[in-house]
Amino acid sequence: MNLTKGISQKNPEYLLEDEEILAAQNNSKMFEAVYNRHYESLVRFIYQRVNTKQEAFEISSKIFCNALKKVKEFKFKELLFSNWLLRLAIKELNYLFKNNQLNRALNFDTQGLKEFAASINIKQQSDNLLQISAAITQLSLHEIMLIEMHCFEKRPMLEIAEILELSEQQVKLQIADSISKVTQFIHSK
Amino acid sequence: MKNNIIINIDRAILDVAEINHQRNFKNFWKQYYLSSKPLFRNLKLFGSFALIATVAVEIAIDFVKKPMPKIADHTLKINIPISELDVQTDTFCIDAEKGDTITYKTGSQIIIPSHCFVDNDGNKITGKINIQYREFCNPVDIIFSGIPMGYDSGGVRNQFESAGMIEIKGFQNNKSVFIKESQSISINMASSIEKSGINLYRFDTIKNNWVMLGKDSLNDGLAEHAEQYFTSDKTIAPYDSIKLVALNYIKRKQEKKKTLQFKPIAPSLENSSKSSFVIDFDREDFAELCSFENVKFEICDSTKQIFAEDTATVWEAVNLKQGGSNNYMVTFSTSERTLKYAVKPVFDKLNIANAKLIFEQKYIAYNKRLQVNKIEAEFAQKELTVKLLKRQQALADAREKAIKEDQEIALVQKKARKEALENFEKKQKKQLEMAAALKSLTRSFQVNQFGIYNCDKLISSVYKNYNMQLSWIGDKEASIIQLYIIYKDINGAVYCYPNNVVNNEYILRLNKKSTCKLVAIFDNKKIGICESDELLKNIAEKIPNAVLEIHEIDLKDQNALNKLINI
Repeated sequence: MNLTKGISQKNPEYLLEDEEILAAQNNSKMFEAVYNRHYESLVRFIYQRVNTKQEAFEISSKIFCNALKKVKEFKFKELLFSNWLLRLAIKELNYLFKNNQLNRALNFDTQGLKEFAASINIKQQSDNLLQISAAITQLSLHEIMLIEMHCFEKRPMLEIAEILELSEQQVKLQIADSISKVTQFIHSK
Repeated sequence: MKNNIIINIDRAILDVAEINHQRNFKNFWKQYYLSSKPLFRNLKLFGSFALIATVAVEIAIDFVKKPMPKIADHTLKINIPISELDVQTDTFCIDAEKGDTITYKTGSQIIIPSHCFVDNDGNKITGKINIQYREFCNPVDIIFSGIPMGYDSGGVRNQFESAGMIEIKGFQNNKSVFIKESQSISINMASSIEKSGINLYRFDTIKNNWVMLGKDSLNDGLAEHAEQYFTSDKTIAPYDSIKLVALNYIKRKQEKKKTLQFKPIAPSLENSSKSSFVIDFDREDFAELCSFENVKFEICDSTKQIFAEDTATVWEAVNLKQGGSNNYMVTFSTSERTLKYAVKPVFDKLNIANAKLIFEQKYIAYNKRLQVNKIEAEFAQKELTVKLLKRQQALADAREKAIKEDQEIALVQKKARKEALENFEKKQKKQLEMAAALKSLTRSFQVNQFGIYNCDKLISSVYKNYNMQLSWIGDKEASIIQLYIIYKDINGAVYCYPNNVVNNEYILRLNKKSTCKLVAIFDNKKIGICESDELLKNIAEKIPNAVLEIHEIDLKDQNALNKLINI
């Protein structure tokens, strides 16, 4: 078997990660390296969207199970493995939220909210910050995800597009649309 | 959905130590391996939902058209008709800390993970646990367990067709134990019903109704597969070969670089028989070329000649570079043409001594540089090799550790399996043989609380309601306490009484084309049977009456009971 087939020509760190994924694709027992590499980032990503630590750990395990089942389907040329994993995570979370098996949580820090308030020209008072949080809850799950990823986690548009399987242009438009919905809601109050 | 969003401001971030504590691949792997197909993510489920919806609509229409069988106040509760005939429970003693795999007499497997029990207050339980388990495989088991096979949904009572039902309970010192929240017990239930569209239900004893949990997973080789996995000795993919390739590449590159080092070429005395030329240049414009003043360039290839027009040309560029170990390539070019010669520097008798002196000095310097380069290259290569070897070693260690851990798990599993099998063989050899002959199919599902679980599907809408009065000869004082219909093509017992009775008429749900049997249980522990022929004949002739034949039964003779009731 040609193990180098499909290995992306990236920096050495990615090369090592690719080796680990290849190994996991060949033998699922070798998934450990992939699991250890991405565990923390995935748990943090999920914890940001759920209410309790326990939920975050349980869902992470579930997502790694899904990832292990589907790891052979992962194609190196299409996207980064971390983004592929987040894609699985978002699908799982949305499924649980939509079926009322899990409560959606918005976890903001004051600094992040202030920055967001400044970016949409709202005064950074505590009442306004609460209003912003409340306004975000009025958005759809997809729109909340976009706002969180772009405005609070500061992810680049291209990365968001890759994770959500959208074009960069679509992401830009949808984020602008979501932000305008938030401002409209705040002004209507 | 929007009402369920929780807002947390400035919540404490997750501690790395906490994340690391939870990061346990070994546990994850165990869970992954032991978990069967997810219940809620199966595409077939959507089809099943559609089917259930269709059945529900049809049943609803049917109920509107026909006189509505009144759902009496009786809830779906467990009502054992004759306690002596209730299905016996088998008790298995396991170690709570080690977990175990129980193999039931029917061939079903109950896989209990370690540390999965808690008490009423949620405290971890250690020590011995008694697991009580029983299965209900056929209509006789279902009838005498008293477990209702009806399912109330949307105000409509549906009936189940069973692909297998189990009850599992856990006790320690006669006190109930519970399954830990994050854990579950895997059950591979032996089943003889090879039908699709089966859902998994749990009987909720508080709500007195079945709760649909999703789908089970039908498989016929789970145990074999597990065995194969734990005994396999697959070799690990040699992915470290990539690093070796990289190492070889670096080596080759370094060797190539070494050969390209500029090596001074020893000056030679000119050979009058060979063509040679002198490069003439303007000393003021090209002062840096003064060292070439006394150098003649002898053409190596004797077949090449220098033409007069070439010597007369004023060349715009002259390029001299090392062409091999003993010669140079000189290239003359103008915008119109280029001329190339392989040459070696030669000197006349007057200048050769001086040239040799210069060459020796340069050669010593070159050797020094070469030596330094060699040392540097060797050092770099050594460093690289050490780094790569370290990484290889780390990966090999990790791999060895993983293999070792896997082997340990396999060993423990193997040991537990071996012990379980040995005990099983000793105690229940006869029953196992019987079960092996009977069942090979298993239905897998996870249970995260003790109770009654049922793999079922709803009975099709081709079954219509017929009103009938029942009578029997003798035992006039006896009265029916429970009435069931058993169908040949359905593994189930449809519960008719006391729920479905209006004005002394029993509402029987029948299909004219399928063989069935009416089973009545009397309060004097006798059983009344109305066979299919009479029942279907009366329906065809629209006679609203059926006569039950009363049978006295020996409560200890299970075979006679099975023969009497099963079709």
